Amino acid sequence: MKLSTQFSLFNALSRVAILLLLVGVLPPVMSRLALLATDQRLEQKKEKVLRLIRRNGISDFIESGQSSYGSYNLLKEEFISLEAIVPGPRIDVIDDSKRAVEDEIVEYRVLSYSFAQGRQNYLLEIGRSTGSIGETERNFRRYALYILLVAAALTTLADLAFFRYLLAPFYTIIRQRLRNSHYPPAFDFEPIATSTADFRYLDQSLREMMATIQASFSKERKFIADASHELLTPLAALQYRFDNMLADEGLSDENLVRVVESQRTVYRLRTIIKSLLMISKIENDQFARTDTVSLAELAAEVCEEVRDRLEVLQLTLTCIVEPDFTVPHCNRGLLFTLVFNLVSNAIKYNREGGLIYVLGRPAPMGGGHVLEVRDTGHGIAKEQLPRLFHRFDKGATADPDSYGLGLSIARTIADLHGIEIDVNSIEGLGTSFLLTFPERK
Amino acid sequence: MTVLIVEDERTLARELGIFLHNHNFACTVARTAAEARWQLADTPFDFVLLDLGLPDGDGLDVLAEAKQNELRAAVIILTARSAVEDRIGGLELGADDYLAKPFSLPELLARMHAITRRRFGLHKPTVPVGAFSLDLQNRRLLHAGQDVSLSVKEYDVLSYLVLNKNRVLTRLQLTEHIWGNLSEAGFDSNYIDAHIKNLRKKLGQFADTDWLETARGLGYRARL
Repeated sequence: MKLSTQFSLFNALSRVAILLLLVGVLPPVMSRLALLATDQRLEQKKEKVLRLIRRNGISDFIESGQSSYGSYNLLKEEFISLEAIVPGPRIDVIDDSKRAVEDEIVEYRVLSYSFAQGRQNYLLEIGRSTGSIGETERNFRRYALYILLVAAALTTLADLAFFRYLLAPFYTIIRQRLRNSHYPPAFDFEPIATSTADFRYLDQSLREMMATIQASFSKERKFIADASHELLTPLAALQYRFDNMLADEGLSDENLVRVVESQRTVYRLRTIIKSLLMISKIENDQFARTDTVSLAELAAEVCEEVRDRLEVLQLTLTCIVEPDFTVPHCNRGLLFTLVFNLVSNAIKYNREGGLIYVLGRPAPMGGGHVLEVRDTGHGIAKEQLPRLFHRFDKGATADPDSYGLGLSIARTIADLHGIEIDVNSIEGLGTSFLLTFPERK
Repeated sequence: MTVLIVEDERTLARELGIFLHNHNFACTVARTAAEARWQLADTPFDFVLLDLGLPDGDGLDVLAEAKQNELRAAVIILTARSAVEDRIGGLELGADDYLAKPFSLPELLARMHAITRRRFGLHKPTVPVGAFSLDLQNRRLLHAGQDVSLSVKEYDVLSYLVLNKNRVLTRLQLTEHIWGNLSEAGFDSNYIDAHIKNLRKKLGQFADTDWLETARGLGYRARL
């Protein structure tokens, strides 16, 4: 899961959790708040009534000859009562109590307050029905929920936008720095703009790392170029000298044969160096893979190239690639070498009058194509199969002119192109090499 | 014919010089790019054998400059840098051929002969080979005006022996000539023996092939 998705998910979940918590905690808090607000209002009303009594006298409420005053509004949500009482302990409480109003029992929050006016004690009661308090509480609760929901939505959106803005350089780093890392020379060293110190550090570290890789990459390239020159030049001198000695008519036949042998040794040395350099160049990605190759054409070309070699052992070569398969993004020369090396081995290790098949067909499991090079030769011993593609590991049947590098080159080329290479062999019956080309992209 | 050998490696230059001298070429050696420029300005050569990695510059620059000064010599690039770009670059600049070091000297001679024929028209288009004649231009072997049918590789073996006539070519030299780089994957001298056997059989139907000699333990020779 992407980092920004994880952030957003966590963010949304944490908000839902807070919301749920608030929904749980809100009702008791709200009812407490509503109660406090009611009590405060009752107190205010009490002050107001007392102020009126102090200014206008009690007679404004209790007419002479009567001992009490009572009033309630139309819906019986509030009432005020004032009555003369006998002296007693001072009363100043706010409490819940039930009152009968016109044959109806109504629950009230009641403020009771006793005071002295003249020589008479009075009890003032102001009540508010708890039903109307609940109404206020429900309103409170509804508005609070709306505000919470809107706040949660707004902050989530703001967070998302901010994360996206914050992580943008991070994704640019991934895209630019890591996607092309398999080909160091194409690396772009321009710093990626970001105000986040961590990303700046990450980007800088990656650039430094890539600079180190590039340096060793070009060092290796230079080594290969130098090795080509430094090793092949003295070999060329030796080879020219042997060529000249062969032309020397004063040289005895015995010495001429020695020269020919030396020439072969130089040739072997040269072949080994060139093969190793080739493997190294392939592994260094120094071959462009920009060709598109028809497998049928390639196989036919290889078979044509080796046709004159079949004669020595009276071999029969059959080449069928059906249906044809197009290999994209490859190096034609390298693919030719790959198939050529396999067919070459099939010729070299065959028996008199033997057969060679070069067969192309769709892969049995689907997704790709198989090219098989099969021979009816000596076969390869079971214990040698695992070491077959290792450098310098020759089979027991190998002749002294094979340097064990042909198959190693084949494996390196196959690896470069993502081609699977498998071998099956039965000693005395023959060998089959299978190249599985991946599905074209 | 005159040859300028541009090569900084002393031993290489010396062996090239000995070989070409034995084949009647007059050789001059230049060891640096500066020396090569001076020699090219001073003497009209027929051939320039040009190494690319020179101590004081790139051989390709020398070539580009010389071509601007209307160099008429045939140029063969000799280099250990077997990079394809070098090859293409060299040929685009007007080089006549390209050989990756190390090559065999008979190969160089065969290429020089081919260029001579192509550029200077100094050789007759057909070369007499015993009772046969080799049409190098059209890659054919004729006997009394009639085509002798040869495979591509058989023709290559025969023409290589003829171009290096009267000297032994080893099986290895023949193999390298006809298969080039591909000889490395499956060098086997038996293949050359099979080609010679076939050539003798095919040519023998028309005339005597005594001139196609086996040098025991060494290789083959066209004694002409």
